[in-house]
This record gives sequence, C-alpha cells and structure tokens, in this order.
Amino acid sequence: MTEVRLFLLRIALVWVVLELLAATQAVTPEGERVAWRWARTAAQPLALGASGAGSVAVDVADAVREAGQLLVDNRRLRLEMEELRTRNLLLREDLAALREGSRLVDTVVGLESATAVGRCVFRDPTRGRMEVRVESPSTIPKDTPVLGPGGLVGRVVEGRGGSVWVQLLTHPAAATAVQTANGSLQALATGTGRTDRLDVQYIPRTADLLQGEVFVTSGADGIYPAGIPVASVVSIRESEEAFLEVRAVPGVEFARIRVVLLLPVMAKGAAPGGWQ
Amino acid sequence: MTIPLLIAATLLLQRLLGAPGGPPWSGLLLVPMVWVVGPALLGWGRRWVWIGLAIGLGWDLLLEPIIGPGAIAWSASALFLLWLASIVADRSPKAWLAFGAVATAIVILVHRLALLPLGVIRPVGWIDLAMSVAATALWCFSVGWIRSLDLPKRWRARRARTLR
Repeated sequence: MTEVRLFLLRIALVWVVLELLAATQAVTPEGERVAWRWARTAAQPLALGASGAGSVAVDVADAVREAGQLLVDNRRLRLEMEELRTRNLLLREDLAALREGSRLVDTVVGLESATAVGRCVFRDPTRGRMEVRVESPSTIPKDTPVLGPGGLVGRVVEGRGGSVWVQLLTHPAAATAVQTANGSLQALATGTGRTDRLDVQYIPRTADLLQGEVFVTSGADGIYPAGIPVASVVSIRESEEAFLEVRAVPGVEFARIRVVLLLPVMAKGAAPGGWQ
Repeated sequence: MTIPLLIAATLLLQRLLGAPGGPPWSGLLLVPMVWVVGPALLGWGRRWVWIGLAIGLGWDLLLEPIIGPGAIAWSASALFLLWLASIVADRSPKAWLAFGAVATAIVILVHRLALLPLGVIRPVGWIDLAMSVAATALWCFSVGWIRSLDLPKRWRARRARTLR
C-alpha cells in the first residue's frame, strides 16, 4: 500500500470515528441517541437472523424427529407389507391348492369316505420322493395309492402321524402294473430317476401301440386299483430284445403338484369308481 | 506557536462575526478558510489536512451543537485543495480566490452531507451558499493579494531608503 493510500485510509477512518462521535451526541426527535438507533438498526438483522436461525433449528429438529419417526413407521409398514405379501402368497397358494384339490376330487368318481386329501409340503422328483401333510385321524397305511391331478403319483412308503412320505412313480425302484386304456396290452412302468420319463417294459414287438397312447393302472400289482392314468407314450423303439423299448411321460407334473388324494380303501384292494 | 494562535484567533473572530447585533451576512464568511487555502497553495504539505481537521473540531466546538461533522467537512476541504494544488500551477491571488471558493463550497456541502446520517437535514440555501462562497473567496483573495505584496520586503526597502 502506498503512502498516499495509507494517508487516505487514515483520513477515512478518522471521518468514520468523527461521524460516530457526532452520532453519540445527536438526538432523534423521539429523544433517542442516533448512535443507539444505529446500533439497534444494525443489530436488528442479526436479531432477526438469530431468531430465524433458532426457528430454523427448531424446525430442523422437528423435521429430523419426524423423519426418524417416519423412517420407523416406514420400516414397520414395510415389514407389515412383507408379512401381508407373504400371507397373501400363502393364501393364494392355499386357494390354488383348494381349487386343485376340488378338481381332483371331482376327477375321481366314487371316492370312499376314508379318502384323505393331502397337501404336498416337500417334493424331490429327481429322487422320487415327496412328503405330504394329511389331516387324518388314522395313520395312513403303507402302500396307500396317491393320486394327483393328471393321474397316479405313487404310493405311501411311510406314514408318521400327519406326515406321509410318498414314493413317486419316477423313483428308480418304483414299478407299476399298467395296461392300455382298452386293456389289450399289459406292461410294467418303472421309474428312471427322471421326472419326465418312465420306462414301459414287457410290451411285445408285435403290439399295436402308438405314440400318445395312455397307460392306466391294471391293478395286477395288488397296490394300485385299476383305471388310474399313469403315463402316455412318447417314444417306441424296436430293439434286439423281445420287447419294445417304450418310453412314457407321467401324467402328473411332480414339480407343480400341490394336492394329492390318498386312497386307503383302495389299498385294501377296492377299486375306485372311475377316473374322469 | 504563532500559527496555532492565529488559527485560534480566526476561530474566535468567526465566533464574533456571528454575535448578535452584527450584520446578517457576517456569518457567511468563513474566516479560518485561509488556513486551508494558504497551506495548499504554499505547499506546506500533507500534515495540513490534519490541521484542517483540528480547525474543523475547533469550529464544531465554538460554532456547532454537534462535534464531528465540521471536522469532516474542513478536513475534506483541505484534502481536496491538497490534490487541487498538485494539478494547478497558479499561485497568484486569483488562485487564492478560486481555491477559497472551492474550499468554501466543499465545507458547506460536506458539512450538510455529514449531518444527513444523523437525521439533521439542513437544507442548502443556494443564495446563502453563493454569498458565502463569494465572501470567503474574496477574503482568501485579499489575504493572497496582501501576501503577494510582500509587505515585509517593502517595509525593509522603505526603511533602507529612509535611512539613507
């Protein structure tokens, strides 16, 4: 800063001091010191700012508290929504199961009163097993036939109270006596371990069999009553063996099955009234 | 020490000019203005701005109800004349006249401006302003003219002549 500027700055400062000095002496028409009015006027924005800042702080605190409450409410509502969604899914599943069970019951004609409806709670089609929950006062006996939408599912291998384990048709150890719908061909459907395939054995090379033909239970195995759809033919191949290599696809979609019918009476040898 | 006494004398004279019973125009003449115009024209330096400030304070003490605005006005006038003297080469009595006029106008106007923030509105009477400017300018011109006569030198010359 040059000397001249410093000099001018000093002069200006002295002027300001002199003006303030004059303000301490001058009096407004209201009898107030001008300096006091200046101070008040200068402090007014600060006071307003402080007041405004206080108000803003209170508002911010309220907003933060309300936001926290909103977050809590939001989380609770979200949890409730998730719960309701889950319940809705369960209810829809139950409803679908009920409808499926109703259709299934309508499908089988002449059901005995001892027939139980079971709810599939676990399925493992690749290993050929399924767990079914049954509301039945009596224990479901072993080898009870299990029916599902589309036909035969398998047989009970173990019953423990309300829980029943079912061996599916696709189980590698499963074998079902089948015949064509008109009864002209008798055969044995065995599981392959695959959910979409059954091997139909002991069909003579001269048999009149076409793709799409449906095999039903023949009742010859003493387990399943006759007339229950089992599978439909998907491929027929001649081999050097004496029998045809016939492959069939089960009538039941094991992966989607929800409800099954357990026919204890049939297990004792009684035959159902028919399959619609 | 002489100059401060002279300054005080001019301030007292100013006070007397405003005494009751005097002519109404007498208060329009700013007698101490020569202490602002003279140092600026004679190149007495920057410190005379502070002297102008002191003159203004004296003015306020003797002639104004509020101390401060007068000091601002007189120092502002001194500051302006200091700058004006740096760009004007003339130092004749006419320069005293012009500088006195300018300085008087500045003092009056700046004094009014300094009073405005205090809520004291003192309207500028342009006729009074013109008369004050004219009277003070003439006062400064007369001082400058007398100074240009160099009376001591003439007195010494006269004494030398009479001694022969």
